Amino acid sequence: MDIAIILKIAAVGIITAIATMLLKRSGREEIATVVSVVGLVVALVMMLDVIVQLYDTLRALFDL
Amino acid sequence: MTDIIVILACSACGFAIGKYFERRIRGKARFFDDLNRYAALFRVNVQGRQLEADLFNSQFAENCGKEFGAYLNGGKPVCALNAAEKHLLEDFFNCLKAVSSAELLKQMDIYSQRFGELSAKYTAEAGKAAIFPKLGALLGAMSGIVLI
Repeated sequence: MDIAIILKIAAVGIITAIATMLLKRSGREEIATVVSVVGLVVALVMMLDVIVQLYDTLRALFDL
Repeated sequence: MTDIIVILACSACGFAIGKYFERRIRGKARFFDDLNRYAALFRVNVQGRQLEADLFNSQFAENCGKEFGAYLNGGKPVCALNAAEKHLLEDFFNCLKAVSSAELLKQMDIYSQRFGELSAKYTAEAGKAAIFPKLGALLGAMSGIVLI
């Protein structure tokens, strides 16, 4: 597995956390929640390829 | 190297978009602040010097923000107003054509209160608008990271 994907997901997580913190401090909690959800979805989408590879590997391993 | 350029370019775009939204909110705050001042000074004008409305408007337009100045000169608000606010503005400027000064002063009191509330509301929002460029830069950087 390429380490770049891990670094990308970490960067997305850190940026989402900072953005959420800034928004909560300025009193916009609802936008902070939306940004958190968007960050989560972006990270999941980035991981999708890796999850599909894992699924294919498991299928080949257990001959399913 | 290309990756860094993509991330920087996306951050810059995000920053520019945030800056645009910040300017929009500050412009709206300036508009309602000027409108509040206009109502107060017009009231003083009715009670005192009683200048013609056109002359009063042209004098006021020279000393106010460009958003309200453009509205006084052109009749169309340059900042984004919702339907209720546009309706309020139209009603206010229609009531300035009232026949008696007593009726006009009564109407001015009602509108001044509403303008004061709107001015306070948008001034508070403008105070929080400084976050938009930072947020734009962060979300732009995030988009750049996703794209690389």
